[in-house]
This record gives sequence, structure tokens and C-alpha cells, in this order.
Amino acid sequence: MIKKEELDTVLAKYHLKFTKERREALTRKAKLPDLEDIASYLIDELNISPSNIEKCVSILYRNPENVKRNYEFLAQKELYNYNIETCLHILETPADDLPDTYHYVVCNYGIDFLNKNTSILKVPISRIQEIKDRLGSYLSPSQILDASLSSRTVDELSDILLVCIKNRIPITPKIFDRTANEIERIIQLCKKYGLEITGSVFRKSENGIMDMIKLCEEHNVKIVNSMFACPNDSLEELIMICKKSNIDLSGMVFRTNAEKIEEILDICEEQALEVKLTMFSANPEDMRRIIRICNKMHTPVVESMFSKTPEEVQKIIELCQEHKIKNITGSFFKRTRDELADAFEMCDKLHLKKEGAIFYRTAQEIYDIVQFCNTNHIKLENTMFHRSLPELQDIIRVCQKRRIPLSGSVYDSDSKDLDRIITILKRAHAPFSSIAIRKSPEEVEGIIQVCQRNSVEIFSSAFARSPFEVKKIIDICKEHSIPITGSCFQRKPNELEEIIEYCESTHQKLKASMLSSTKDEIKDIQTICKEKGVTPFESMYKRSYEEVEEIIELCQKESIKITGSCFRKKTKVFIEIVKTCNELGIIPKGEVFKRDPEEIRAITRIYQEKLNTLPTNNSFNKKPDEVEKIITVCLDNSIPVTGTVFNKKASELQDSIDFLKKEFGSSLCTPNIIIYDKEHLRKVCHYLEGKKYLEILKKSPSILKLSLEEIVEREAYLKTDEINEPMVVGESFHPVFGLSRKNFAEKKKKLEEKYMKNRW
Amino acid sequence: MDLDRLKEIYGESILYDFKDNIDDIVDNMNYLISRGFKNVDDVFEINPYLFLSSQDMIEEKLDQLMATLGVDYIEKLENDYSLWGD
Repeated sequence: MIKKEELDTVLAKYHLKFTKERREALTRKAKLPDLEDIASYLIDELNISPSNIEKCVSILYRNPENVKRNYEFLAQKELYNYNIETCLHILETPADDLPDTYHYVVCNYGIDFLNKNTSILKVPISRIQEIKDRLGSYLSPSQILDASLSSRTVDELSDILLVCIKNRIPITPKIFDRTANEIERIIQLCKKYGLEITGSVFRKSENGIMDMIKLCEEHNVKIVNSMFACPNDSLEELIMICKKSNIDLSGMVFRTNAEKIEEILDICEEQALEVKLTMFSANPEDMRRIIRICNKMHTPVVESMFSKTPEEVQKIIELCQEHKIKNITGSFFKRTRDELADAFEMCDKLHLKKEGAIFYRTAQEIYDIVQFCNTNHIKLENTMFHRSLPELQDIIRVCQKRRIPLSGSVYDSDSKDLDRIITILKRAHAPFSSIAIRKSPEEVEGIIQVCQRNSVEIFSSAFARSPFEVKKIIDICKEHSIPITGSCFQRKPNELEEIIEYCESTHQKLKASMLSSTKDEIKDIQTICKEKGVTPFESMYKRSYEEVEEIIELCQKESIKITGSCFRKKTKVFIEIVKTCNELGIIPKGEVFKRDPEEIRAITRIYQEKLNTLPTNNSFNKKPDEVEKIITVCLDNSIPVTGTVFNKKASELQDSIDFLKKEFGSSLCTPNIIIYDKEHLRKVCHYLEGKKYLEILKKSPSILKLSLEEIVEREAYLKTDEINEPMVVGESFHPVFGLSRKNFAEKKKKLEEKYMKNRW
Repeated sequence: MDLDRLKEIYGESILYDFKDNIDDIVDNMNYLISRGFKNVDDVFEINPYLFLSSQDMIEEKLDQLMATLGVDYIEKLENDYSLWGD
């Protein structure tokens, strides 16, 4: 028995804070020298955060030698340190048993499994084996481990499984907290009140669920999954705060308490952080420490940091800085520091950029996904890393079966929803849309129904809105006699209405590009244009008012002609482009603003290496690797590298060249001919060859701007008795082949009228 | 506009180019209208790549054509698209 004062002194020394009940447990169960020994070992020697020890008070009354032996064993293994530090109770396992369990789990389930279910190390092998032998055919490997971790006997587990299978209930870890009878009663209750039966509902007892239903009815609040994890007495308080602070009543809010929410809201206000639901799972004190670390390390605060301890955040930032990562985004905090270090190593090995969703996966998973793509000749997309390999394989199978092109966005949905959405779109004769994949199948169906009921075309952009919003937008457009196009769905209904009213009050026509901004942004941009004497360009509305002003001022200072192209990129990039152009001797204008400074440098380098000149403005139409390919295609085929060739892809140019060479030799391979589609060339060139006009085509290739049907139609016009002129005049095609479509139609009409008149 | 015909003549990729450069296309159409062109749709159908360029390039090209064709260059260009060159 430890004296209270002695305990307080030791706890204060190690900055450990416990509730009264836990302190009492410590005074009863711990021995002071052992407690000090363990605290000193964990905090001073291993540098483990006190907050991790606070979550596992029992470690302080265990045998220090046992704890140390276990840690030393695990430290040499492949298990991530972070998992040991956040799962300290595994160190309480008898030191003779832990190595056996470790080897058994690693051999049978793999190290990744162990990293995800580290607590399993406290379970004896015999129990895991028995569950596997008796229930293995009903459970997945991870479910075997979940079941092993529960306190149920194998017979009880067997009864639970029978109820789950009979009622098609997902087997989640929490289900093992209830007996088979309790599960059956909860299922009946959920069915009675129309609640979706997910793993979460089994977090509460039958009575607990009943009380929660009453409470939600009283406050007119919809029941969400996370409420089941929240004690009913806290639930009411949380509902009141959320209503008062306008917080969405879903997700993480019910996994915390009212006091914490209020503190987190204060922190967000102080730091001007946007309130995100995931933040509510964080400890406010840790949040403040994380913000201090970020300020000290000149790193912007991102929401996902709050799912980590401050120490871990610091280690991750240090690792990123070591790897010279400039933009430290949320995805870097999806994994532990050690996992991230492994993933970085893998990225270097596979020459992958360290960015985006890649860090949602472990190093091994990254390797497996890349290997899979290489083997199956599938383009690797960053969004793929949102999914595990089996999930990806399912999605790809669905896309191939349904003939949907594999693009980055298809990996945003799971394969079952993707399949359902494709079917819904197909039945409605709606085009496949990557935006639709981000919605649930029910929402997609709802949007289609609204469009169909209102006889409105189903635009892809409509899927960015809810069915209710789509209906509202259609009504607004009808009310103001605005044609309903895809752009109308870019904005929320109230924003669209404001823009329309602004345009009406200022007597200007609503342009599609304006819908990239809000009414206030449009107004500000137009005001600044007026002040600076500049015509508003379409691309301006994609920038903020401040950016527009800054770019205009820079153009005026640097004598750059202000055109729409100047507003393609953000101000920072625009300034860098101008600097780079000045440095390289390129005039900052036109297509050059389509590229980043690095790309401009790369294209200039390619031009100098291959052609020993500065790049033409048109070459900036394409990215550096494509520019290099186009130049190579031209040089390999002795075709001059003019600006025209950069309107097409290298592969398309090569196709046209191969066709022309094979059918007519290389004389037709000129920049003004190879830019047309191979099939079009096949039809027109064979037609002109039959008439022996291929030589004329070389000198007068603009006839290729007409389809074969149009050429034949104009030729027939020339052959009429009233005209009777040859197809070729001198060394060019007859001027009739140069008429615009409208002018030719008029000429033809006149001729027909004349013919009809003469006939009568 | 007859996008199917443009796809047939220049290949499918031109439709993606239109989608990626829609702001430039609208700006360029407005620019041609501001210079006095009446049948901008027609010019677009016979010269789509022109509209995918930046406005500087179009302005440069029109200035050159104006110098060669004379003051009535717009009428001439709207009547005979071969004058636009390749």
C-alpha cells in the first residue's frame, strides 16, 4: 500500500495525471519502487508520452522486469514502435508467453495484421488456436483475432456467430461485448424503430438504445451511428451544444464530451481553424501542444494531426523536413512516423512522388499496388492509394466489365456502389460521370428522377449537388428564364439566385464562367477591372479578387499584355512564370501561362538540346514529356517542328504519319497534313488520289478542313451546268472549297432557286 | 456547332482540348466579336485550333492578316477560310 502523498509526488515528477479512482487503485495495487522503476523506464528511457501511460494505468503495478523484457523483445521485431507505445498493456503479458504469441500471429497472419491488431499479443496462443479451429470457417483472419481479444468463452462466441449469420449482421469487434440473447433483442428493437443494424448498435444495451431513441425523439434529432458509442447522459448535453454552435449532429461529436467540445471550439476560434468533425476525437490539451509545435516548426496545422499525439506529430514533421517535403498535407499524418519512414523509402525505391493519398497505405501495400499496375499495364493513379489492393482489383474488374475508362476518380467509390451507379446512369441514358461516383447510389437515383420529372438534360455537374438542390436550381433557372446548362449546377441554389439577380440589376448577361465565383467575388473582380481599365476575362472568375488585382498590377509593371491566359494560374505561380521567362529569354505571353515554371525550364532545355533554339509559344500547349515525344516524332520522320504540331499528341501524329507513309510515301508528311485524324486522312486522301490531286493537296492542304461528304458536295456544285468549273484552279483547289459553311450554303441555295426559276 | 464533324476531322482528342480550354475559347470568341467578326461560330468550325490558342496569338495573327489583306480583312476572312492559312 502506497501513501497518498508519496504517490502524488511520484506522479507529479513524471507529469502523470489520473482520476481519483485510478489513484486509489494505484495506492492499493502498486509498489512504490516498482512504480517509479516502470515510470522512469517508460518516460525517461523510452521517451513514451505520459498520456499513453495515463490510458493504461495497470502497467504501473506490474513487474518492472517483465515489462522491460517484453519491450526489449518487441523493440527488435518488425512491430512499429508507435503501436507498442499506444498499446502499453501488451507489455503486461507474461514475458514467457509474449514471444510465442508474436511468432504465431506473424507466421499465421503476417506482420501487417499484427500492426493493426497489436493488442492480440496479450492473448495466449491456445485461445487463438481454439477459436480458429472451432469457428475459423465462419470468421475472417482479422475476425478470429477480434474474437480472441474478447472476454467471451468459445461456446459463447459460437452462439453469437449463429445469431449474426442468421440475421446477416456484420461481425465487428464490438459485437462480442454482447451475449447472443442480447444481440437478438437489440436486432428486434432496431427493426421495430427502423434503425440500420450496424456494428455500432451493439455498443449499447437494449435499455440504453431505448433511452437514446426517446431522447432523440424529444429533441427532434436523427439517430446517427456514433450516438451508440456515447453514454446517454452525455448525449443530451452534446445535442444542446451542437445545436447552439451549429455543428452537424453526426460523426465524432458523440465520441467525446461537452466540456471537450467547448474547449475544442475555443481553440478553433483562437487559431482561426475550420471546425471539422474529426477534431472532436482529439484531446484539447494535445491540440494546443500540436499547434505550438507547428508554429515552432513553421508548418501549417492540418486536421489529421489531431488524431496523433504531439510527440508523434513532431516526429512526422521532422521526418518530412528531413526529406525536404515542402507541402506537409494531412495525408502524412494518416500513418505513424515509423510507417511513414518505410513508405518514404518505398517511394524512393519505386520513384514515386511523396504526395497525396499514397500515405494511406503501408510500404508493402504501396509496393503491391505498383506491382499490380505494372503487371496488368494499368496506369498508376494517386487516388488508387485510397483503396486496398483487393478493393482496387474489384473496382477495376467492374470498370472493365462495364466498359468504363479507368481514371483517377473511379477509385473514389467502392466496387459495389460503382456497379450500382453505372447501372442507374445506364438505365437513365445518362452519361457516365466521375462526379456521380462520389455520391451514394440513392442520391444519384434521386438527382436523375428530379431531372427527368422536370424534362431537364442530366448534366454531370448536377451530381455535385443533392436532389433537393438540383430541383431548386431548375426552379430558379425557369423563373429567371435562364437556359439550364451544366454550369448552373456549379453553385448552390442561393448562390446561383444571387448571381442571376446581380446580373439582372447590372444589365449584364450571365456567363457560364461567372458561376465559378460567388456574387460578391464577381462584383469585386468587375470593380477592380473597372478601376484598372481592364476588360474582364472568363478565367478571372476562377481567381480571387486579390489575385486578379495582383496579376493586373504585375502585368502593368512588367508591360505584359493582359489577356485571359494571365489568370490561368495562381498569383504565386504567375510571378514565378514571369521571372522564369525573363531569365530564359522567353516572352511571357500566350501559351506559356499554361505551364509551371519547372515545365517551362524543361521545355526550353528540350528545345535547346534537340533543336538548338528557344521554344515556340505553341510548344507550351503540351507538357515537357509530350513536347519531347512530338519533337522526336518530327525529327525521326524529317518533318519540320512548327507550332501546328503541338496541337496534337505525339501518338496521334505518329499514327497519321505511319498511315500516310504506308499508303502514299513520305511526301504528304507535312505539319499541316499530319495534324488531321488518320481515318479522315484515309478517306480524303484516297478520294483525291483517285482524282490525281495529291500533288495539289501538298500545296493546298486546307481542303482537309472539310469532311469528305462536304468535299463531294462542293465538287457536285462546281459540276452543275450553271457553274461548270474545274475542281482545281492553277496549283490550288477551287475557291469554293475555301468558303465558310454558311457562305457555301447561301451560294447553293441561290443556285437551287435559280434552277427552280429556270425550270418553271 | 457540329462537334461530331470536328471529331471526325481532327480526332476525338480535340473535344478534350475544348473541354480543357473552354475559358480561352469563350474569351477568344468575345475577342473576335469585339474586332467585328459576325460569324464567329463559322470561323470556329473551320479553324478550331485558332480558338485553343491564347488571345495574344490570335491578336498577332489577325494583325498580320489585316496587314496583308487590307481594311476589309474581316469580310475576306469570313468568306474564304483558306486565307486564314494553316
